[in-house]
Amino acid sequence: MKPLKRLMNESKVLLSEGFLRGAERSLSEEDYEEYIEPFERQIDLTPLDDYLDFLIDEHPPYHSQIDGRLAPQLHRILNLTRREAADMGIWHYLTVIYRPDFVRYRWTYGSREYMKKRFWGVREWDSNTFSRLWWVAEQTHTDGDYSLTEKILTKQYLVRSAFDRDFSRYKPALRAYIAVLCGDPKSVVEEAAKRFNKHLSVVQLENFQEQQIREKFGEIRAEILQDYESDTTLS
Amino acid sequence: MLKTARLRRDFFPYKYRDKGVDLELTRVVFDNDESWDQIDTQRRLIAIDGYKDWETARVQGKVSINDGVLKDVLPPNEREKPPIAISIALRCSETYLRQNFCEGSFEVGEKIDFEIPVERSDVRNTVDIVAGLVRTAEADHIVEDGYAAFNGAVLSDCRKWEIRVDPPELPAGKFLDIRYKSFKEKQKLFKLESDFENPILWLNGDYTDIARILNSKATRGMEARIRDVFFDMISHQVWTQLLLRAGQDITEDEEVRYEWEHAVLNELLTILFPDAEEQEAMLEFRDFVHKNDVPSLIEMVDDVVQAKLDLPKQMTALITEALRQ
Repeated sequence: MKPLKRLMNESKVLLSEGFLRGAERSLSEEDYEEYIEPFERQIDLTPLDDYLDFLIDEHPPYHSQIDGRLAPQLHRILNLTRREAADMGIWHYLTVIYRPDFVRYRWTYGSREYMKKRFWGVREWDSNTFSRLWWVAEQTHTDGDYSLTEKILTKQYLVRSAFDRDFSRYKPALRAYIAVLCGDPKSVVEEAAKRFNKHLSVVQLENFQEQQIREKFGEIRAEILQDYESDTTLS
Repeated sequence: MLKTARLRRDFFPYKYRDKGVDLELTRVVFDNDESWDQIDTQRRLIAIDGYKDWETARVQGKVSINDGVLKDVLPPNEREKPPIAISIALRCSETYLRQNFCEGSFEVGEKIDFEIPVERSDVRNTVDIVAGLVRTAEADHIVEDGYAAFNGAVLSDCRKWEIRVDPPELPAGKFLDIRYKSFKEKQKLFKLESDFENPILWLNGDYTDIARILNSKATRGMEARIRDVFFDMISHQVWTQLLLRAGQDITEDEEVRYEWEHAVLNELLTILFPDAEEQEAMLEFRDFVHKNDVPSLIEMVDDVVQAKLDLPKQMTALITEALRQ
């Protein structure tokens, strides 16, 4: 049994340059126990450990397809409530203490700030390596069916264009977005997300059902394709 | 950072009534039927963060449409049987939650009672409750004079309410209770009471514009940038006072009086004494506090706090945003 724990905020000082770069590969749990607290209920991390090892065996380093495979498993294994998942302490424990090797396997070192976000990350959705995938799965699964989670994570621009915007917080809107746009190129997806977001300035999104939003995305997509035909700047 | 729709704040492409919906929260009832009716109507805040033992909280309130709203937002031929509803939304940004409750049938001026369930497992820190007046049907005729015609159009909004579920977090990871009240000293903006287990930062509630900015949840734009600068300016004073008090309280055995003092020292002494062990740093700081004069002490603490907060970064972001607009 490897229990989920949480890392206290004060431990941010542990993110040295050497640690972020991987020269100092891991931080011993015993040495930093003053920063570690038990999580409020028992969640066994052994299956997650096994699955992360499996992904490392199956994929080359820095491979973005890891995301689509990991997100559903992470969500199933951790089985958190939204309240629990909003506690950054558990995500910091997973990245900094539990599997820093996996964070470095998934992300190449771009800069200190970039890598710090992958390990830490507090407010922006697209930061902490594990929390971002859990929230994508949470917002896109339906009763344990993760097909939309896998779809949206096939392309980084698809997930980023949605989760950078407020509508991703409303599940029917996100489902409609994936259903209509998942096969489209980057330029169409980004423009559609932008236009839909603009539309939200005059409606209250929560008043709409998934089918209505799907129709709206369909309209926007058709307009963009029409613009695309007459204006090559969208390509 | 989230890209939120900016158009709403700037203008509506049709007739819109600003703050025409009156939303009033009256109490919160917990699972065990205990209720909480301590409501800060000035700040539109219900702080239930002191009440831990609940799974579901039912937020009760009244909502109504101000006189004259329909005249402002609907064409004359629609005012008798208005195609409208009041939509009440519950949002928690920390947990990506957006839920909706709709009140479809009401008379203008009538106060409609409503109740919204909030599941503790779905929320964290704060929950926002807002209401809007929306169209529920497409206009079946050509609408003139700039009235909104499409189904779902937002015609009016309300002032937002906040339910505080958890205590606000201090940067050090411990808790600083932020509260508002009127100050006798009118020119004073804030006051820190730190001689407690949980220090309290009192803000002058009479400065409503400042309170609104400090409570803003915006992640981009001018409001967010101003808030960040305001917060850093207040934080500078708060950190300084907390660090000085914690320094005074360190004993020869490296003990402090309150738990929060540990958190503050932990956070700041690593900047001040980067190579020292925790106990060693505490003793060095204790010596410094007791042996130096006030100007030297203030100078040293000021250096540490400035290093921590990075105020120039926030100010530069504000200037950039101001120039961009």
